[in-house]
Amino acid sequence: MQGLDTVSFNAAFAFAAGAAVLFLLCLPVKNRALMLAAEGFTLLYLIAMTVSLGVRTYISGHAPMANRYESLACFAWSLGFVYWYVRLRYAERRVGYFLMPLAVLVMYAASISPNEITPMYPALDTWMFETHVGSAFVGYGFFGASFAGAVLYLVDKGQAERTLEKLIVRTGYYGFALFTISMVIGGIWAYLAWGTYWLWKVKELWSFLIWIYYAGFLHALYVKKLRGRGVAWLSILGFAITMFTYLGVGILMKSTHQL
Amino acid sequence: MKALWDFLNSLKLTVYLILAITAVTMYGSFVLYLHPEVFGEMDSNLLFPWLATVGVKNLGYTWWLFPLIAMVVLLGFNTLVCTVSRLPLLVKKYNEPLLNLRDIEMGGGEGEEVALGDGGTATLTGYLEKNRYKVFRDGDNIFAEKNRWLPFMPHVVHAGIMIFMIAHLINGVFGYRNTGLYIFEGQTAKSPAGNYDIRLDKVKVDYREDGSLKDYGSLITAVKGGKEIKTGWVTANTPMFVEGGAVYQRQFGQEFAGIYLYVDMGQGGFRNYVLVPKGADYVEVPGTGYRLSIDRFLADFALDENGQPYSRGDEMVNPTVMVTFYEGARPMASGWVFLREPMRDTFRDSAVSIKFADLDMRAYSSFDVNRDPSALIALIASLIVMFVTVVTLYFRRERVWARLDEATGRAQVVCTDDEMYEGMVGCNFHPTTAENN
Repeated sequence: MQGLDTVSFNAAFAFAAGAAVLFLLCLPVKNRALMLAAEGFTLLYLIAMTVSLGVRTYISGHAPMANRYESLACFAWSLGFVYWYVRLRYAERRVGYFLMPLAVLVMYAASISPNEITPMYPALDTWMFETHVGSAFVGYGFFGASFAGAVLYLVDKGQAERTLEKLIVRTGYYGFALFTISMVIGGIWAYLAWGTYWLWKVKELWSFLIWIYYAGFLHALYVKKLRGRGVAWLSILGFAITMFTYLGVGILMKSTHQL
Repeated sequence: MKALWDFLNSLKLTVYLILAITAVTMYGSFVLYLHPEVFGEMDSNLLFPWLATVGVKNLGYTWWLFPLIAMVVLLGFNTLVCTVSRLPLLVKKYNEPLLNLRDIEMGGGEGEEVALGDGGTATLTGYLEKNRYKVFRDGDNIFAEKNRWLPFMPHVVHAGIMIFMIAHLINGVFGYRNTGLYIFEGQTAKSPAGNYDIRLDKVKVDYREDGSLKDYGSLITAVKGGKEIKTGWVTANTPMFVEGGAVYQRQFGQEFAGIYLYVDMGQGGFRNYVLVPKGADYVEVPGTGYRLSIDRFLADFALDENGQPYSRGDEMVNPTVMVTFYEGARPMASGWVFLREPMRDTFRDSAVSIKFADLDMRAYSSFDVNRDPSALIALIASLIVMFVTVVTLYFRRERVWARLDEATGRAQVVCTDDEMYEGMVGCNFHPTTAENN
């Protein structure tokens, strides 16, 4: 059974790489067939990742969030999921230019991490942990889509500006809503596990930063001067903060929140 | 006063405050990470008492917390003023929806002219009502709105955030936090809250087949005035709520509490186990007038070149003790006895044999006892923020303005929604769809 997990992960890695290459080829060559092929790979990638994570969940009996490999794999899955959400909801394929190369990098990081299935520590073995982490990952994915929209807005100005603005804002809001779920459920869990919903730790501070930053981002939409390019730049900075919180704090700074 | 109100009512203030909070928190996170000697005990205390003591003494490291708190408080006032100043207008517009007709000047180029068809005005209003719009008419002007409650939602979120901040403040002043209450199984300790005792009835630890920890917990009883008031398991994510506070499982384990020696004084004499508690100067051998003392204890011994035991670690791997046997106050014999290697025993006496029988290991748990008087308020406030934020994703406030010209059977129609900001995105309604219906 665990073989299926590895095989589907490797297949997903290959599909992600194929999709990323095809998306990047679409940048200089506006070719509909290439774009469709890229999309096809993205769909196969999402299916294979879903199988891989599903198998791990079945074997371990808990959501695949117990170690760095699983954390990265979940984040990689969320990038594929968000791509398809944006594609179906906003008919916007171009976020793949950014989301799929990012998925490849995350998959690579996962592939060099130990991938054994590890049991969950008792305090983590709760639906609150799974909801806390799961909603944060999908939220990160939406922040990534907002970032992609922002980059497109800045470099591809003039083309469907309003659609891109809408994409930046809506995906930013989706990310914010999901991150709010993560913060609130995480707070409730922390209160039950550690007796306080807030800890003065690096990861907690950066998570607060993400939340309040995107709250500010949503308010910035109402400041005329910041509309358009301002909002795009804020989205880019927001995703930089998000990625530092997820990877920078986890890898560079020791934290009780390793991932 | 008006200048202050306008200052606090500014959306720019919100955005710039948040950017400033972001910058200060980033800086603070690095200081906090690099100086655990200052911030290490922060979570074991409430914020304000900690700031008043450790914080003030280490201003070089903690100064950023003061502007951070000030800015968060200012943001709270900013949020409050924003809601207080906007709410009356929203209520007015909700109660008098035709005020919305002034929002957009019809015929300003944004609208679309449509033919109303045979049904005339009823075609348009019928379509709107069928699609759950609330329709209002003022002469030739129609205003229709769907999900009219949505403009209130950001203010519900604001209220939730403000209530949460107040709850956090109440906890910072009236709560308490006590960490590291160690209790051995079967023993009772006074709760740091002071008004009841905690008895540790049982410690439970389960491991999986691979040796990893599966579950742990403590069965505890809260005792007040000699009466048991609550009993229950405290586990990883399940505290016990008692007397307005909560007891949390922190650590567990087994601690060395003493040693069992087997004392054999020959046929007809004393033959039994004697417990020597950790730290005891000596113990009586019951009913004999003899006594024992433990002169040295090594948790993990090795032998030096002279064959004498010395300590090579504190882990209870291979323990040995030096025992002295007394008749009254007079030492009779002395020597080493070994738990796992009794053949090395050097204690010799013709009247008595002493063997190191076992260790007395006692299970213990440590607990945190906290009280957060506003936890329920904070919970409700945060759930409101979460619920409203998520629900708002699924609804749109869609609005339609129409200016009718019954004589020509045509209407000028503008539609918009406030999905993110006004006018940015078109709503689902389209005049041609109305025509077709």
